Amino acid sequence: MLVEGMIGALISAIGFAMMLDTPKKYLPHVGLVGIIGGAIYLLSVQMSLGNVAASFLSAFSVSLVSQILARVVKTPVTIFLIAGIFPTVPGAGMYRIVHYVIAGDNSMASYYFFETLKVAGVIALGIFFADAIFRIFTKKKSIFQRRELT
Amino acid sequence: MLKEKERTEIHVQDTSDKMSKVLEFAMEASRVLLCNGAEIFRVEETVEHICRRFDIKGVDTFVLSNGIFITAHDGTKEVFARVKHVPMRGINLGIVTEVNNLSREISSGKVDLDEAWMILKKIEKMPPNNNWFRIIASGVGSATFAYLLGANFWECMLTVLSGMLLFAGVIFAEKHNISKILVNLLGGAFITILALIYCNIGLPFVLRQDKLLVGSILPLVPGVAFTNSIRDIARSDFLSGTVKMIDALLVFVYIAIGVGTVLAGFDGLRGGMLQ
Repeated sequence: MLVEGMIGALISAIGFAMMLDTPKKYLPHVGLVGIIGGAIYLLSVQMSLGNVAASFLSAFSVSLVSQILARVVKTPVTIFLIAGIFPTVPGAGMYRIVHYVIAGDNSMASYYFFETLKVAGVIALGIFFADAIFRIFTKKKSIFQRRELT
Repeated sequence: MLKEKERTEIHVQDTSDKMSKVLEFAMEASRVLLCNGAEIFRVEETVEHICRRFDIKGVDTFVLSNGIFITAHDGTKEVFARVKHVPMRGINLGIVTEVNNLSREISSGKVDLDEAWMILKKIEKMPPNNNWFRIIASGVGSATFAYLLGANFWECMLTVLSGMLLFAGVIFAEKHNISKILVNLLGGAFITILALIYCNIGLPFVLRQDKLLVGSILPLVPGVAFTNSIRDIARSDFLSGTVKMIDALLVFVYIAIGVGTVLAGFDGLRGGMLQ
């Protein structure tokens, strides 16, 4: 199950990277990020950590790895980040909300609404953390006087 | 021989000429970056790198999600001030990468200004990947995503089909400048209609409507806008981050309306028994 899931994550990450016009020479890196994200998500779900925690761990590790890769091959982080994050972005939750709203089941609809919000927020947190960690190491002088870290 | 005063005037003329040339280039490079989906801080850093390489000081930039402001003064007076409106456009990560490489080469001193202009022009005309390629990629990506969410073999195969059809529609809309609202509304509706057709023409295997839908909707999901908005907010570019977040949220809402309308209509046709 885990191996199959990792292969699935690899193919879907590369598929979406190609859809967004990522240069072909970075596709292997994107695949690596996808595998890591998928593996961590699946492992956390297997350890019954719950959807939200799994999304957080996966998003956090994906953004850490993307930051490292971006510094190694000297490209924008976005290229790796987006393809790796895509599978965790809650498209499924959105569908479920609509489904239950139309079925008239308000309690299920609000359950999935908050679930989706939580997942989205937690992905944001993962990216924030990785970004903040890497900003500690990149201190530099700016030619703009107004720039100061917040 | 020139008098002292004239000479200094010519000198000032020269430096401000050079300054506006460099800043003009910086403006163009940041425009290309911004409208192809780069983050705010990347745009600002690019301007900074270019200015540092050509030794220009006293520069100030202010970048929003759809506008760039650059001013510069040479100690006595303002010599450059431009505002550029950059309408939001589609995402092309290839162009962002290339401009990023270009800025790296400029700041390491490999490329001078005229060469850089030529390279930038070339980058902007760079064609996107082959469209067939992108369509197939989106189909395969959707299908494997559906698989990750527990779809069976036949559901995956049908998701390939709807993902490809959907992305073909998206590319068509890109070419004809059809508004984003319409694309997402119709895209959501189209996917739902396809899924309903698959489920109801009596194919000889088990099909679950939710798995079909969740997979094939993915090419519409605003992943880039969402990720970029978070990264902007993380760098305290709150204004642009909020704008992009609202953009992403609205896309979700449009898709939801598209899906919902069709589901509700079908529900009504069948007499109120939603599976």
